[in-house]
Amino acid sequence: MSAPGKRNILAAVAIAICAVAIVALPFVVADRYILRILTVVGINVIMVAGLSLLFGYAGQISLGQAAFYGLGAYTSGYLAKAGVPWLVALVGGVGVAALGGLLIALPSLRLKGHYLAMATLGFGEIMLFFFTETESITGGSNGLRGIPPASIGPLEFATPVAKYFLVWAVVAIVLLLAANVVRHRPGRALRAIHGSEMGAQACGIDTVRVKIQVFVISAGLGGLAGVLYGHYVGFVSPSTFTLHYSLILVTMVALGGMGSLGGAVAGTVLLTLLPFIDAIIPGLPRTTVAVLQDWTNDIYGLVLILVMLFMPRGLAGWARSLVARLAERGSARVPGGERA
Amino acid sequence: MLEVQGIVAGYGRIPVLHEVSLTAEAGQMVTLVGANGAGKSTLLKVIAGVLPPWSGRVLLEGEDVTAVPAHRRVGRGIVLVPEGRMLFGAMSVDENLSLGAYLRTGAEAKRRVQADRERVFELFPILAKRRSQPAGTLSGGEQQMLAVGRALMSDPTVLLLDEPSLGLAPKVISEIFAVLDRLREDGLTMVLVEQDARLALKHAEHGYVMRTGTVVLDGASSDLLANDDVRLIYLGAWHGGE
Repeated sequence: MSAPGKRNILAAVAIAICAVAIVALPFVVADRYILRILTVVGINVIMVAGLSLLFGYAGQISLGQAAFYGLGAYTSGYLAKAGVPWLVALVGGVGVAALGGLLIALPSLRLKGHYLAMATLGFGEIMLFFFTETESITGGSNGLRGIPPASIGPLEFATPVAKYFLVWAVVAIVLLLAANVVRHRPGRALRAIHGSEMGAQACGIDTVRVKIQVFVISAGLGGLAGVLYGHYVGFVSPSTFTLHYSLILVTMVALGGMGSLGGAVAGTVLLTLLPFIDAIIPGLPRTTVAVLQDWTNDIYGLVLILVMLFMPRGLAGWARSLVARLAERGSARVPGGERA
Repeated sequence: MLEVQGIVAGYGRIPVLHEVSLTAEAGQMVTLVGANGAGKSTLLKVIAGVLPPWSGRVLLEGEDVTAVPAHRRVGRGIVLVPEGRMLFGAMSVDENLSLGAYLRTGAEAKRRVQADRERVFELFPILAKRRSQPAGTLSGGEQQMLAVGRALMSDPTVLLLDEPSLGLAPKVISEIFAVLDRLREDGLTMVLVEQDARLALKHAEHGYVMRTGTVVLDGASSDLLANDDVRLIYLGAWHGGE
């Protein structure tokens, strides 16, 4: 069997196993703390799905994703506190974040590489300042308190299990849509822009428009993750929406592999779990845990450097070459096989 | 038919082209020859819509397309094979070809796209062998073939070729130009920019000799090949001789 064929089957199996594990987990694991951790993982996956489209596929870096996260969280939190139904608050949060994305995309889309990085970084810092200073709306540095849990009509997502399922249901929808985008024509356009903007234009791709679209989509997904976060924790403050978080997101995409949604998800899961390693692996020595937790940010930085140096195509690239090698060995053994 | 009328263009405030005009009849291959910096590639960029001209017009079948942005000109049939190929290195040969057909959607177009893909593989059999290989791993010649193939997938009526022989071995060059000859026999209009003027004039029907942003001479390729002044260009006399 060809490597891509084998890869598709392996991917389908992996997705099925993950889906079953995610659904079964609350029934197997009694520890609510682990459920909370995995809910945070789900929220990060939504964030990273957006950044993966923008950065991993289209090659447009953003160091300001935390700002969209914040826009979503504050907007829907504020609206929900004012008595607006959650679904409407959600649409509001996503909409405001997407609008923010549009506003930053329009002037900065002619920028590339470092310049786009600086523009988005600046936007993130401006928004952080905005969240802190507009006290009447955001509660300033004290944060916005008493955000009600998510609810759809009479259905309220108040317990850890309900919140867990809500977040992962949204994760499933987002990943399905994103996978649909990247596997088809729009995904090809994104990767083409990453490969060569001039070449993409020569193929008839409206590069300016596609870049705006993907920027707005990634901002909207950031807003969506922010909405879920705000109603999950019930409290948001500026300290969540820092450059630090934006950088971790970029690290997650880079670790997972540019141009791979599955890789980005894997990178997100690994890096989100790192600070909670003692809860995931109970038998770990106390000192090991302490070191890992104290040095979490240094490890993130080290991971980013090591990936850049030794694994430029990330976990996904590494997995791909592994599967290709296995496929080659498999077909070499079959007489008359396509590579024999 | 492609007509370029009185194009003035440049980069920033520095003019490069001074009232350049040219015509490519349907099914004709015309070539722009001349020394480095004469403005050949700049003119091609104006025709492709990548560089907006300061004044002048670009007409396709008599219709003014000067204001049409680059990506929409592809849909009109003006397709550029850019200098340096500008392939998508991480993507496979097949995906690069699919991107060439980016604008051709719908069930009916799909069938013709498939036929075009087979035609590209027939013109460049090596690409069929490499179809699932990343474009970045191809040899220079194969990459140039893919760049031409990708452009053909856009179903062009006017193909603009920017230095297709650059950096390639003579054997590969003659292979690529043999395909260009076949395309012209099939009625494709082509504008070829080439450093190697002798090669270009041997394949094109009509040539334009450019020098510092203007067309100094134009005529049938055979006449230009016999022209003493043109012979001087081959010797590079215009580089530093004056």
